[in-house]
Amino acid sequence: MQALPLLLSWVLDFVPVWLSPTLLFVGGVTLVYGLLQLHETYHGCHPLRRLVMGTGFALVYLPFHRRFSFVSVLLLALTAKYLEGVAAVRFYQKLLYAAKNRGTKGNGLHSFVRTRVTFKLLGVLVTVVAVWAAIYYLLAHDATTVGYDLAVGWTVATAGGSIVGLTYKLQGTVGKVPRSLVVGFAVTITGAELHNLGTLRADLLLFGLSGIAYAGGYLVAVGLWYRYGSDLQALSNAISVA
Amino acid sequence: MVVVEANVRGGIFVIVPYCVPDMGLVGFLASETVGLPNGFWLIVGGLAHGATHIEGERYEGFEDELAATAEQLNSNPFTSKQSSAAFGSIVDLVAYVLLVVVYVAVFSPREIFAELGEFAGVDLLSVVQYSTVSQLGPAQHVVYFPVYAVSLVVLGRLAFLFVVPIVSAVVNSVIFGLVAKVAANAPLVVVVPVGTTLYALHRGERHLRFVLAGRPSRYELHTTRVKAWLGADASLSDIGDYVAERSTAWTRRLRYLSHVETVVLLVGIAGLSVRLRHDPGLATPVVALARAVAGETSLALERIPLPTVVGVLLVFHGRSFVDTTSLGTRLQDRLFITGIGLVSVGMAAVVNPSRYFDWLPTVWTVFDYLIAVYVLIVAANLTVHLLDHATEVR
Repeated sequence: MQALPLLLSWVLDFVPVWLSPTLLFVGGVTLVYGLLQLHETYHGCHPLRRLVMGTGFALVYLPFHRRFSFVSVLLLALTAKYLEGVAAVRFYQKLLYAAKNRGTKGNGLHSFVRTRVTFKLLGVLVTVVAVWAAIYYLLAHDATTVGYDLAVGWTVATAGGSIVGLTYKLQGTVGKVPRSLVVGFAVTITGAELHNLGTLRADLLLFGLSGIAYAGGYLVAVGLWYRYGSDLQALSNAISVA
Repeated sequence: MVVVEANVRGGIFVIVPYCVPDMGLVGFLASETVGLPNGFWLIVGGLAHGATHIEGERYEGFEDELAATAEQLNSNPFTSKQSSAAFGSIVDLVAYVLLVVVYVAVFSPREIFAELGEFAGVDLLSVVQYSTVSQLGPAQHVVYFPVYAVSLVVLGRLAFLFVVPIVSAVVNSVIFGLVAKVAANAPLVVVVPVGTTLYALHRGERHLRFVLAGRPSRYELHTTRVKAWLGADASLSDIGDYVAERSTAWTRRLRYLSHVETVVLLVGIAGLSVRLRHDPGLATPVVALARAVAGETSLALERIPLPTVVGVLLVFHGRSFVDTTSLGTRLQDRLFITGIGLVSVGMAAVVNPSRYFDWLPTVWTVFDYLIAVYVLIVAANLTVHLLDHATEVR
């Protein structure tokens, strides 16, 4: 099943081509803005200062991305996969927590399932709307633009699914880290995912390494949880936004 | 104010520690515009600028006072201290960008640089490339200085190693001194304490006298008034309330002087441009030096795309906003950036792998490293927060 998006991404190029760098830029500004809020020097400073630095970093990143496209995509995509591995362990934590608090109103298994189902439904909605839009374009436009319209639909579905999925996976960190960091990270990753690598070989390599990154994130998370246990909460509090 | 005079290749080189803040380029352009005879003036305000900033922030209670002042003002963004600082910084930034654009538009310096290097028998273009990387690394306060030193190597086969009390500047100067000595084969590297180094030494002596006598001398009180106007003596802030008041006033004046200097900078650029337009063949040593500086900028721009240049300027500018930061934090920041700069300089100047392996990408700026570092920092941060399982399920 996972091979289908890989195959599609190779057959269909994401369009328009400016969407990827645009998302990278916007995501980069937002990401650095949020990251600087974590820094004690910049936490209480004027927002303009964080914005200036965020814009600066994002501007620097664009040529970097253009020169080392594969490295850039690899770095961001593998980081996302790594965090997905970490989030998988968090899923187990949630189940454990929910099972322990079955009788507690609001925080139990029911609440957990409801939250999860809500986001799953949101993901389904984005996908359905994208498919619907693709079909609409198919019927409403002349045949010469069908391929392009399909590509647009595919791009929208991929982008929407990626942003919603990543935001959902990382939403547990909001409050500990600024929301702008989470959103910026999701948008940046999406920008990287929309970059057309161009060759099946590169796509396959990325696919293979993604599995390793996912496993790495999972193992690191399990190791940290096993090693530090509840001390992770203290560490989390120590490095979170004051 | 004249501290050092050295007779090099028949010309008199005068080095002046000019402690009004911001770039030494200001004085350089100003001296060229008025056409000083018999030599050239090198004004090292940029170095003093960084040091005096640190000194200013040392004053205990200054941050609180600044915050109180800002609080007294209303939240009008045009009157609050932070916004004023932001506006001032943006004005400076525009001046920097104009500086780069005007230099590149006025000169075609790469050939001049190559000729100068051929004349001196060194691969000057490579040296300049090394210093380009180093300049984009450690700190904005030393941006132009290695270029002056390169020019001195070319014009006089003599490298000056300037020492100032800023960690990153000292590190940068040492690195550049080594590069100048080894790569440019400079016969002599002279160590010259400039800027607030002299005042730092002087402060130590005065501080000792204050401890022994229990009060500042009349001479000190007098010189404080004078030097405060020159923006040179924030270091007195730690020896009494009277001086502390002066220090605060000095810090405020520092900001105004920065803006005045920005205007001078722009006027200097305009003056130089007009003069060169009327006399394209102008070939004084100072113009050669200016062309060398322009070559530096041109090379940098040739290798580095415009978004990167603007991005780096924005990041530096965001870092250098007048804000409430502690000395320790600033030093940590500078050490961090310096460390990354060292990696760049090491790769470019010592190892320079792209010289031997064409397929290796050439590092444009140290921010290429920062990108990877920042992504990894985010990943590590989110890992810990994601596993914070003791909180409620979200």
